[in-house]
Amino acid sequence: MLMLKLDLKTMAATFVASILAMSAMAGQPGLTEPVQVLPRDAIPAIDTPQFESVEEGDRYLADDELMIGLVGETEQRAYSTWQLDNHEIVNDVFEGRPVAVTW
Amino acid sequence: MYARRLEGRTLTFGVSGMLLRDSLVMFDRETDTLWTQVDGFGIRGALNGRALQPVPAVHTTWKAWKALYPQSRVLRKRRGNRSAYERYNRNPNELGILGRRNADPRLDGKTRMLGVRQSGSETAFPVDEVRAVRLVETTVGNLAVLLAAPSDDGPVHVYDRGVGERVLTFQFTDGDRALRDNETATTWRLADGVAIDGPLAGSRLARVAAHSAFWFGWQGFFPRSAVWHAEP
Repeated sequence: MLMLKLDLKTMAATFVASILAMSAMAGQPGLTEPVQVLPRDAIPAIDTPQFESVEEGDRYLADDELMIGLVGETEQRAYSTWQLDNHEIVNDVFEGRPVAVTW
Repeated sequence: MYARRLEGRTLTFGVSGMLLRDSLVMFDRETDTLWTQVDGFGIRGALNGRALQPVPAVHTTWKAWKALYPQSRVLRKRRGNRSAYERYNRNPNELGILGRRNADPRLDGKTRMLGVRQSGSETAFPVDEVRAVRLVETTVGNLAVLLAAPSDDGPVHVYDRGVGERVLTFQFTDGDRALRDNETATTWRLADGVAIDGPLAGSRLARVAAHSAFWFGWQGFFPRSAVWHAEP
Protein backbone atom coordinates (compact mmCIF):
# COMPACT_ATOMS: atom_id res chain seq x y z
CA MET A 1 0.00 0.00 0.00
CA LEU A 2 2.82 2.34 0.86
CA MET A 3 4.35 1.75 -2.56
CA LEU A 4 1.04 2.54 -4.16
CA LYS A 5 0.75 5.75 -2.17
CA LEU A 6 4.27 6.79 -3.16
CA ASP A 7 3.43 6.06 -6.77
CA LEU A 8 0.33 8.18 -6.53
CA LYS A 9 2.32 11.01 -4.99
CA THR A 10 4.82 10.85 -7.80
CA MET A 11 2.04 10.75 -10.35
CA ALA A 12 0.34 13.72 -8.77
CA ALA A 13 3.57 15.70 -8.80
CA THR A 14 4.01 14.87 -12.49
CA PHE A 15 0.46 15.97 -13.24
CA VAL A 16 0.96 19.27 -11.46
CA ALA A 17 4.23 19.86 -13.30
CA SER A 18 2.60 19.12 -16.67
CA ILE A 19 -0.29 21.43 -15.88
CA LEU A 20 2.04 24.25 -14.90
CA ALA A 21 4.00 23.72 -18.12
CA MET A 22 0.83 23.78 -20.21
CA SER A 23 -0.44 26.75 -18.29
CA ALA A 24 2.73 28.69 -19.01
CA MET A 25 2.47 27.83 -22.71
CA ALA A 26 -1.21 28.28 -23.36
CA GLY A 27 -2.69 29.99 -20.34
CA GLN A 28 -5.72 27.75 -20.73
CA PRO A 29 -4.88 24.17 -19.76
CA GLY A 30 -7.40 21.52 -20.72
CA LEU A 31 -9.05 23.63 -23.38
CA THR A 32 -9.20 21.06 -26.15
CA GLU A 33 -7.82 17.91 -24.52
CA PRO A 34 -8.65 16.59 -21.05
CA VAL A 35 -6.01 17.18 -18.40
CA GLN A 36 -5.36 14.48 -15.80
CA VAL A 37 -5.31 16.18 -12.41
CA LEU A 38 -6.01 13.18 -10.16
CA PRO A 39 -5.74 9.42 -10.62
CA ARG A 40 -8.84 7.62 -11.84
CA ASP A 41 -11.29 6.88 -8.99
CA ALA A 42 -9.29 9.03 -6.54
CA ILE A 43 -12.70 10.66 -6.03
CA PRO A 44 -14.93 7.61 -5.45
CA ALA A 45 -18.36 7.56 -7.10
CA ILE A 46 -21.18 6.09 -4.98
CA ASP A 47 -22.40 2.79 -6.46
CA THR A 48 -24.71 1.56 -3.68
CA PRO A 49 -26.48 4.64 -2.37
CA GLN A 50 -28.45 4.35 0.90
CA PHE A 51 -31.39 6.61 1.68
CA GLU A 52 -33.19 7.91 4.72
CA SER A 53 -36.24 9.99 5.57
CA VAL A 54 -36.39 13.79 5.63
CA GLU A 55 -36.50 13.65 9.45
CA GLU A 56 -33.34 11.52 9.56
CA GLY A 57 -31.59 13.62 6.92
CA ASP A 58 -32.38 16.75 8.88
CA ARG A 59 -29.83 15.77 11.54
CA TYR A 60 -26.85 16.52 9.32
CA LEU A 61 -28.19 18.63 6.45
CA ALA A 62 -28.00 22.42 6.81
CA ASP A 63 -30.98 24.53 5.72
CA ASP A 64 -28.84 26.31 3.12
CA GLU A 65 -27.28 23.06 1.82
CA LEU A 66 -27.66 22.83 -1.95
CA MET A 67 -29.53 19.75 -3.11
CA ILE A 68 -30.22 18.10 -6.41
CA GLY A 69 -33.45 16.14 -6.47
CA LEU A 70 -35.57 13.85 -8.60
CA VAL A 71 -39.37 14.18 -8.67
CA GLY A 72 -40.94 11.04 -10.13
CA GLU A 73 -44.40 9.58 -10.57
CA THR A 74 -44.69 8.45 -6.96
CA GLU A 75 -41.27 9.03 -5.38
CA GLN A 76 -38.94 11.96 -4.74
CA ARG A 77 -35.26 11.60 -3.95
CA ALA A 78 -32.67 14.22 -2.97
CA TYR A 79 -28.89 14.29 -2.85
CA SER A 80 -26.72 16.89 -1.13
CA THR A 81 -24.29 18.47 -3.59
CA TRP A 82 -22.05 19.39 -0.63
CA GLN A 83 -21.88 15.73 0.30
CA LEU A 84 -21.28 14.83 -3.34
CA ASP A 85 -18.33 17.23 -3.62
CA ASN A 86 -16.42 14.22 -2.31
CA HIS A 87 -17.99 11.74 -4.76
CA GLU A 88 -19.11 13.72 -7.86
CA ILE A 89 -21.31 10.88 -9.15
CA VAL A 90 -23.99 8.58 -7.74
CA ASN A 91 -24.90 5.53 -9.82
CA ASP A 92 -28.52 5.13 -8.78
CA VAL A 93 -31.78 3.60 -10.00
CA PHE A 94 -34.84 5.82 -9.61
CA GLU A 95 -38.33 4.42 -10.22
CA GLY A 96 -36.70 1.61 -12.18
CA ARG A 97 -34.61 3.91 -14.35
CA PRO A 98 -30.80 3.87 -13.96
CA VAL A 99 -29.53 7.44 -13.50
CA ALA A 100 -26.17 9.08 -12.94
CA VAL A 101 -26.57 11.81 -10.33
CA THR A 102 -24.15 14.58 -11.23
CA TRP A 103 -24.57 18.30 -11.63
CA MET B 1 -28.22 14.24 -14.11
CA TYR B 2 -28.14 11.69 -16.92
CA ALA B 3 -29.84 8.43 -17.86
CA ARG B 4 -27.40 5.51 -17.58
CA ARG B 5 -29.17 3.48 -20.28
CA LEU B 6 -27.69 3.90 -23.74
CA GLU B 7 -28.29 1.71 -26.77
CA GLY B 8 -29.49 -1.25 -24.70
CA ARG B 9 -26.64 -1.05 -22.22
CA THR B 10 -26.59 0.15 -18.62
CA LEU B 11 -23.48 2.19 -17.87
CA THR B 12 -21.82 2.75 -14.49
CA PHE B 13 -19.83 5.95 -14.16
CA GLY B 14 -16.66 6.82 -12.29
CA VAL B 15 -14.55 9.94 -11.87
CA SER B 16 -11.75 9.89 -14.46
CA GLY B 17 -9.59 12.42 -12.62
CA MET B 18 -9.48 14.48 -15.81
CA LEU B 19 -10.84 17.95 -16.42
CA LEU B 20 -11.84 19.41 -19.78
CA ARG B 21 -12.34 23.17 -19.81
CA ASP B 22 -12.29 22.90 -16.01
CA SER B 23 -15.29 20.57 -15.99
CA LEU B 24 -15.69 17.02 -14.75
CA VAL B 25 -14.82 14.20 -17.14
CA MET B 26 -16.48 10.87 -16.26
CA PHE B 27 -15.72 7.41 -17.59
CA ASP B 28 -17.94 4.36 -17.78
CA ARG B 29 -16.77 1.02 -16.41
CA GLU B 30 -18.43 -0.99 -19.20
CA THR B 31 -16.75 0.56 -22.27
CA ASP B 32 -14.10 2.88 -20.78
CA THR B 33 -15.51 5.78 -22.78
CA LEU B 34 -14.76 9.30 -21.46
CA TRP B 35 -17.81 11.56 -21.01
CA THR B 36 -17.86 15.31 -20.37
CA GLN B 37 -20.29 16.14 -17.59
CA VAL B 38 -21.57 19.52 -18.82
CA ASP B 39 -22.95 18.19 -22.11
CA GLY B 40 -23.01 14.40 -21.57
CA PHE B 41 -21.05 13.70 -24.74
CA GLY B 42 -18.69 10.78 -25.25
CA ILE B 43 -15.35 12.31 -26.21
CA ARG B 44 -13.02 9.31 -26.35
CA GLY B 45 -13.44 5.52 -26.47
CA ALA B 46 -15.97 3.04 -27.80
CA LEU B 47 -18.97 5.38 -27.38
CA ASN B 48 -17.17 8.47 -28.70
CA GLY B 49 -19.72 10.85 -30.25
CA ARG B 50 -22.73 9.42 -28.41
CA ALA B 51 -24.82 11.58 -26.10
CA LEU B 52 -26.25 10.72 -22.70
CA GLN B 53 -29.90 11.69 -22.18
CA PRO B 54 -30.24 14.50 -19.60
CA VAL B 55 -32.72 13.80 -16.78
CA PRO B 56 -34.76 16.67 -15.32
CA ALA B 57 -33.87 17.52 -11.73
CA VAL B 58 -34.68 20.12 -9.10
CA HIS B 59 -31.90 22.35 -7.74
CA THR B 60 -32.67 23.99 -4.43
CA THR B 61 -31.76 24.28 -0.77
CA TRP B 62 -32.49 21.60 1.79
CA LYS B 63 -34.90 23.98 3.52
CA ALA B 64 -36.96 24.48 0.38
CA TRP B 65 -36.71 20.82 -0.64
CA LYS B 66 -38.02 19.40 2.63
CA ALA B 67 -40.95 21.85 2.62
CA LEU B 68 -41.91 20.89 -0.95
CA TYR B 69 -41.26 17.15 -0.69
CA PRO B 70 -41.65 16.07 2.97
CA GLN B 71 -42.24 12.43 2.01
CA SER B 72 -39.06 12.21 -0.07
CA ARG B 73 -35.98 10.08 0.62
CA VAL B 74 -32.54 11.64 0.90
CA LEU B 75 -29.07 10.22 0.38
CA ARG B 76 -27.88 9.03 3.81
CA LYS B 77 -25.57 11.46 5.53
CA ARG B 78 -23.55 10.64 8.60
CA ARG B 79 -21.94 13.98 9.41
CA GLY B 80 -22.42 17.63 8.64
CA ASN B 81 -20.14 19.47 6.22
CA ARG B 82 -20.04 22.64 4.17
CA SER B 83 -19.22 22.53 0.47
CA ALA B 84 -15.56 21.89 -0.29
CA TYR B 85 -15.95 24.64 -2.91
CA GLU B 86 -17.64 27.25 -0.74
CA ARG B 87 -14.85 29.79 -1.06
CA TYR B 88 -14.42 29.06 -4.76
CA ASN B 89 -18.15 29.37 -5.40
CA ARG B 90 -18.23 32.83 -3.82
CA ASN B 91 -15.16 34.24 -5.56
CA PRO B 92 -16.34 35.99 -8.73
CA ASN B 93 -12.80 36.15 -10.12
CA GLU B 94 -11.85 32.48 -9.77
CA LEU B 95 -13.00 30.62 -12.88
CA GLY B 96 -12.35 26.91 -12.64
CA ILE B 97 -9.86 24.93 -10.60
CA LEU B 98 -7.12 25.25 -13.19
CA GLY B 99 -8.05 28.82 -14.04
CA ARG B 100 -9.93 29.95 -17.11
CA ARG B 101 -10.79 33.22 -18.75
CA ASN B 102 -14.38 34.15 -19.47
CA ALA B 103 -14.39 33.89 -23.26
CA ASP B 104 -17.82 35.49 -23.63
CA PRO B 105 -18.62 38.68 -21.70
CA ARG B 106 -22.37 38.50 -22.31
CA LEU B 107 -22.49 37.39 -18.66
CA ASP B 108 -19.97 37.49 -15.82
CA GLY B 109 -18.07 34.20 -15.65
CA LYS B 110 -19.46 33.17 -12.29
CA THR B 111 -23.10 34.00 -13.10
CA ARG B 112 -25.29 31.12 -11.89
CA MET B 113 -27.53 30.00 -14.71
CA LEU B 114 -29.78 27.21 -15.89
CA GLY B 115 -28.99 25.84 -19.33
CA VAL B 116 -31.78 24.36 -21.45
CA ARG B 117 -31.04 22.44 -24.63
CA GLN B 118 -33.46 21.37 -27.32
CA SER B 119 -33.00 20.24 -30.91
CA GLY B 120 -29.60 21.88 -31.36
CA SER B 121 -30.49 25.12 -29.61
CA GLU B 122 -29.34 26.16 -26.17
CA THR B 123 -30.38 29.00 -23.91
CA ALA B 124 -28.75 30.17 -20.69
CA PHE B 125 -31.15 31.60 -18.10
CA PRO B 126 -29.39 33.67 -15.40
CA VAL B 127 -31.02 32.52 -12.16
CA ASP B 128 -31.16 35.96 -10.52
CA GLU B 129 -32.86 37.46 -13.59
CA VAL B 130 -35.42 34.65 -13.65
CA ARG B 131 -36.13 35.18 -9.94
CA ALA B 132 -36.63 38.92 -10.55
CA VAL B 133 -39.49 38.34 -13.02
CA ARG B 134 -40.65 35.06 -11.33
CA LEU B 135 -42.28 33.64 -14.46
CA VAL B 136 -40.62 33.15 -17.86
CA GLU B 137 -42.43 31.84 -20.93
CA THR B 138 -40.28 31.36 -24.00
CA THR B 139 -39.05 28.76 -26.47
CA VAL B 140 -35.77 26.89 -26.82
CA GLY B 141 -35.54 25.29 -30.25
CA ASN B 142 -39.01 23.81 -30.77
CA LEU B 143 -39.69 23.49 -27.04
CA ALA B 144 -42.10 25.88 -25.33
CA VAL B 145 -40.71 26.26 -21.83
CA LEU B 146 -41.85 27.75 -18.56
CA LEU B 147 -39.51 28.80 -15.76
CA ALA B 148 -41.30 29.53 -12.50
CA ALA B 149 -39.54 30.93 -9.44
CA PRO B 150 -42.27 31.62 -6.88
CA SER B 151 -39.81 32.59 -4.13
CA ASP B 152 -36.29 33.91 -3.81
CA ASP B 153 -35.12 30.91 -1.79
CA GLY B 154 -36.94 28.08 -3.56
CA PRO B 155 -36.21 26.21 -6.78
CA VAL B 156 -36.69 27.45 -10.32
CA HIS B 157 -39.14 24.93 -11.78
CA VAL B 158 -38.68 24.32 -15.51
CA TYR B 159 -41.62 22.76 -17.36
CA ASP B 160 -42.72 22.06 -20.93
CA ARG B 161 -45.67 24.36 -21.74
CA GLY B 162 -46.98 21.94 -24.34
CA VAL B 163 -49.90 19.77 -23.20
CA GLY B 164 -51.34 17.67 -25.99
CA GLU B 165 -51.92 20.00 -28.95
CA ARG B 166 -51.99 23.10 -26.78
CA VAL B 167 -49.21 25.46 -25.74
CA LEU B 168 -50.23 27.04 -22.46
CA THR B 169 -49.46 30.35 -20.74
CA PHE B 170 -49.66 30.71 -16.98
CA GLN B 171 -50.04 32.89 -13.92
CA PHE B 172 -49.36 32.12 -10.28
CA THR B 173 -52.25 31.09 -8.03
CA ASP B 174 -52.89 29.42 -4.65
CA GLY B 175 -50.32 31.45 -2.72
CA ASP B 176 -47.77 30.85 -5.49
CA ARG B 177 -47.84 27.09 -4.87
CA ALA B 178 -49.61 26.49 -8.17
CA LEU B 179 -50.09 27.91 -11.66
CA ARG B 180 -53.33 28.54 -13.54
CA ASP B 181 -53.21 28.43 -17.31
CA ASN B 182 -54.95 31.17 -19.25
CA GLU B 183 -56.26 28.86 -21.97
CA THR B 184 -58.24 26.30 -19.94
CA ALA B 185 -58.18 27.70 -16.37
CA THR B 186 -56.69 24.45 -15.12
CA THR B 187 -54.69 24.64 -11.85
CA TRP B 188 -51.26 22.98 -11.90
CA ARG B 189 -49.26 22.18 -8.76
CA LEU B 190 -45.75 23.62 -9.06
CA ALA B 191 -43.97 20.96 -6.99
CA ASP B 192 -44.72 18.14 -9.42
CA GLY B 193 -46.59 19.66 -12.38
CA VAL B 194 -49.81 17.74 -11.71
CA ALA B 195 -53.11 19.38 -12.75
CA ILE B 196 -55.18 19.33 -9.57
CA ASP B 197 -58.28 21.25 -10.67
CA GLY B 198 -60.01 22.26 -13.89
CA PRO B 199 -60.62 20.78 -17.35
CA LEU B 200 -57.17 19.18 -17.63
CA ALA B 201 -57.13 17.76 -14.07
CA GLY B 202 -55.06 14.58 -13.92
CA SER B 203 -52.69 15.71 -16.69
CA ARG B 204 -49.14 16.58 -15.80
CA LEU B 205 -46.63 19.09 -17.10
CA ALA B 206 -43.34 17.45 -18.14
CA ARG B 207 -40.33 18.75 -16.24
CA VAL B 208 -37.52 19.91 -18.54
CA ALA B 209 -33.85 19.09 -17.91
CA ALA B 210 -31.99 22.29 -17.03
CA HIS B 211 -28.27 22.17 -16.34
CA SER B 212 -27.18 24.23 -13.33
CA ALA B 213 -23.82 25.84 -14.05
CA PHE B 214 -21.64 28.90 -13.92
CA TRP B 215 -21.72 30.81 -17.21
CA PHE B 216 -18.05 30.23 -18.04
CA GLY B 217 -18.53 26.46 -17.67
CA TRP B 218 -21.65 26.32 -19.85
CA GLN B 219 -20.18 28.69 -22.43
CA GLY B 220 -17.09 26.49 -22.76
CA PHE B 221 -19.25 23.66 -24.09
CA PHE B 222 -22.04 25.66 -25.75
CA PRO B 223 -20.31 28.75 -27.18
CA ARG B 224 -23.29 29.52 -29.44
CA SER B 225 -25.78 29.39 -26.57
CA ALA B 226 -28.37 32.13 -26.50
CA VAL B 227 -28.66 34.16 -23.29
CA TRP B 228 -32.11 34.99 -22.04
CA HIS B 229 -32.77 38.41 -20.49
CA ALA B 230 -36.01 39.90 -19.20
CA GLU B 231 -37.67 42.35 -21.58
CA PRO B 232 -36.65 45.86 -20.51
